[in-house]
Order: sequence, then C-alpha cells, then structure tokens
Amino acid sequence: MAKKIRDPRLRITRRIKKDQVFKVKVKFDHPSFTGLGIVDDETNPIFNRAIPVSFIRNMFVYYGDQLVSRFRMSSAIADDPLFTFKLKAVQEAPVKVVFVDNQGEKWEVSKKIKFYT
Amino acid sequence: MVIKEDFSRRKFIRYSVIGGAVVPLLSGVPYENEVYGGVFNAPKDLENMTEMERIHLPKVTLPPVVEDGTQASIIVSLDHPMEEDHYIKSIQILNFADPVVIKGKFYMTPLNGEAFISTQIRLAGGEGTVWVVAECNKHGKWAANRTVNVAAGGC
Repeated sequence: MAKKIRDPRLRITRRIKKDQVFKVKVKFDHPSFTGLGIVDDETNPIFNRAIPVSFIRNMFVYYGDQLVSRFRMSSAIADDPLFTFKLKAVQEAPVKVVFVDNQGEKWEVSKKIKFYT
Repeated sequence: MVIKEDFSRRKFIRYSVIGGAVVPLLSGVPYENEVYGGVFNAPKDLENMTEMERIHLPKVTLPPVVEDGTQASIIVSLDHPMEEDHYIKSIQILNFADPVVIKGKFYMTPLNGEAFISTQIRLAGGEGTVWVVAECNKHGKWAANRTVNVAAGGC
C-alpha cells in the first residue's frame, strides 16, 4: 500500500528580533526512491530502473512575497527529509515553503514571523 | 540580385591552419587558479588558508561511517558574508560514485543571512566521496569533499 503523504511541518523559533538570522526547519513526510535496483555486481551498469521513481523535485522558500531560496533535488534525497536553512529577519511577514514532487503535486506550509520585543 | 560569396576554399584552408596553430598554444597557458578539472577552486594549502579561501571553502559535516545509506545526514555551512553584492548563490551536493550523482542544489539570496543547509541524502554502499560545491557570485565555485563509508547502500 502506498504511504500516505502528510502535509509539511514548519518550525521557527518564537523569539526573533529584527535583523536576526534564524533557523527554519521543515519536515516533509514524502517517500523518495530512485527506482533503481541492483541487477548484478558483474554487469555494467550495475543498476537498472526497477520501479517508478518518486521524489520531491523542488522546495521554494518565500519570505513575504519574495522568493528567497529554492532547493532543486533529485531522487537521491532521503525519505521524509528534514530541511534546515537560515533566513534573515528583515520584516514581519509570513515564511512560506512550497514543495513540488516529480508528479507535479504541490504542498505548502507557512508561518508568520513576528518580532519579539 | 547577385549574392557575393565571400567564403572561399582558400579562406577555409587559411583559417584551418591558423586555428590548428593557435588552439594547441592556448591549451598550454595556465589558468589563473589551481582548480579541479578547470571548474572548482580549492585552497592551495589546507593548513594555511588565506582569508579568501577560508570564507569560500564549504564546511561539510558528514559522519565518516554511515550505517544506513538511505538516511545520511549532511550539514553544509560557510563563513561567507551574505551581502547584496557579495553572497553565496548556491550549494550543490554530489557523489560521483553513486548511480544518482547530483543529490540537490540549494539556491540562495542575501536574505538567507547565512549560507547554511542541512538535509538527509541517499548514498550507495561502499566507500565514496561526497562533494559539496559552493558558488559565490563574485569568486566562482569552491569545492570541498568528505570520504564516507556506507555500510548498507541506500540507492
């Protein structure tokens, strides 16, 4: 049975000051497989396409309306990956992370940044 | 209307002779920096790096032995400034020994504040070298690598 894909989860520290660089953690339970299977150690190439490939193709990070980062991935990214990256708190605006898989399916998660006073 | 043919057999032979002489001469000219395959910059001496080399060389955290090749954690960071006119454009993770060589490429902007990425990748079994290539908008591509031994392959 195919594994159910859960919506991505975004984690950001609550105490953010203006111009502070903060960590963003995004966990996305998405299966990822190269689809490759070992044929035989003696043959060349060793691997062949055994099953259909499935993976997260792109991760887009928006801060406010601006596209801040983009992560282009291959099928060699692990199952259910946890991505951690950094952002600079320049404005009180939502951080939105959009995932697109190789089938073109889309998921997104967002959280608003509020400055701690 | 008469179309003037300005490319003759004589000209073709002349250009071929010039090209044949110039190309081998140019191949002997050394590049400005010592790079891997003419693509990546790398520090000349890892013990005594210059400030330029220190800020551009990616710091890669990857365990030397990975039990499960389906979940190999990798952390890449750089001490590079992220300013409007000088910043790290991208970080790419590769392993040339794996059937899927390119793991991913993370594109950044100055709004990232710091060049940092952490994720998990798949690695094929056995010994391999994971390469990380960081691209600066001014100073080109810089590469660092880590040798890793994977007990159970994850491809």
